[in-house]
Amino acid sequence: MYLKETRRYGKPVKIIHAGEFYTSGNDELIQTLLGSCVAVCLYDPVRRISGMNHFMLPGRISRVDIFNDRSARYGITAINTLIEAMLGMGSEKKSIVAKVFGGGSVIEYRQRAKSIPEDNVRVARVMLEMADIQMLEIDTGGAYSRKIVMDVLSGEVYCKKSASEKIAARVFSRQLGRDIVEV
Amino acid sequence: MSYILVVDDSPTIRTSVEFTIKEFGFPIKQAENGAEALDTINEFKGKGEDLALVVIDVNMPVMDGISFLKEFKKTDRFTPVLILTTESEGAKIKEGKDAGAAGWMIKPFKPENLKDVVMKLIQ
Amino acid sequence: MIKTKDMKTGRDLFILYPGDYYASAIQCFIGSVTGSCVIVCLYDTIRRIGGMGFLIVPGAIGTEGIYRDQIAAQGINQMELLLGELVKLGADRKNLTAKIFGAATFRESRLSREFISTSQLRFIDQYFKSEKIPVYVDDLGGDYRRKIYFSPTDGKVYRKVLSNNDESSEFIKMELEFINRIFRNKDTFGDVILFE
Repeated sequence: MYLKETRRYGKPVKIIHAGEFYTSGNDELIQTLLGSCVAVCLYDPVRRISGMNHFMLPGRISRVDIFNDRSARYGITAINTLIEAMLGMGSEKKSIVAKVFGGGSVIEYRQRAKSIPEDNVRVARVMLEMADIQMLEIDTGGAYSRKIVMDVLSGEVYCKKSASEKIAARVFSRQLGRDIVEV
Repeated sequence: MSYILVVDDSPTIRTSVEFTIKEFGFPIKQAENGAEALDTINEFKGKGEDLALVVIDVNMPVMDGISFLKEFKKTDRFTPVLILTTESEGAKIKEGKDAGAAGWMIKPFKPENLKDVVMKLIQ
Repeated sequence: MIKTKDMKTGRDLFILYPGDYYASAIQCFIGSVTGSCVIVCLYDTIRRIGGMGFLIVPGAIGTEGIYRDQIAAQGINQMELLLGELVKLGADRKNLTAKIFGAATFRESRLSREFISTSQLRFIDQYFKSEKIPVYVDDLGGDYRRKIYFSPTDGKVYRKVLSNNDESSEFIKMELEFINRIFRNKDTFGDVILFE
């Protein structure tokens, strides 16, 4: 995993990218930039541990896909991995709460890619609901890119939405380059 | 009078099909799978009763519809066999056609459509 | 449907979306959450094969019952798809037992929930009698959603009642989309192909 560190907000900031996750119990921040991708932020208020991932599923999941589609599995695994990492750090599942962000879209992006941002969000919500993890905040969809900053010890998440065409185009095109797999 | 044989492992489907086509006046017999269908046909052949049409499902235990068709066509090339199934895959349909099915109908069936097809096949 | 993992046991977990069905002869869990729709768990007690279907009957069934009813035909077909999967795995209808959940009447719908619930109950009653599949558990009605975990190789069902936050449930959202779609397309029938 590639983690960039800055001290822009007076604390160390760990920046994660698509396909990565990070869990921590230290006094620091976790940050990511989302276009159509989704980030699940988990927080355990008892142990004061936080975790964040950043994933996307290219395309709708059909009955046929699920056994063969590596990338579909990858998004689902990303959520399981994050929950397991939290448990590995000593969290109990019943005390974990979640916040879900991302799954934005821009018109240009919609026409170019097969991926459906809503499905990314849906998978995250369905899995969390099945795992009995309560979702405290959900900010998803719309023609936005989002910058997410999570404070590890408090579990607070700051979400800055940007509708600026320029920023959005940059985020989306980068994610297209990185994540989109033809299925 | 010749009879129509309805083969499906679901009693609900057998009864639905019977209700739909009984107005043609043919006696209707039922079987639960391909093997039972072959037994029924042989039994009534012995009694001198003619078979007008077979309406049969594909996925059934003991003997499926395609296996029945292959077996049945060895002794009877002329009696039409209509497949009535949830299977809609091209390869499966081709298998049915190659084995000698007269038609392939995908469930759920529209009663009017089933009547039309049965009418065409028994004429 | 998505394939994930059950955290406690490490077994595969197949999460069904409304309208999905899945059967297995291998140890795993099949799970979902239902509100007004019906989750049917079928289990072959001899061969130890099970399957789950997530369905809804799109409307009221006529007085003649399920055999001649076009609405019931849609429900029968959803059951046929599940039964077909079971039969392909080697299950026999004669050994099947059923556990049925859902058909709740609750808030948050443009359609009349009362009406939906009643027509589901009527369909289930007539269908399982007609199929001669014994219903071991029918946990139907109420005003809550139900989370169901089904273990297809031993037929065990784990149920949890969820009575809060209906409006934030993604399953309830998907269910409404499914109900609207299937009620709109309730006159859809399969194709007919005549050879020669």
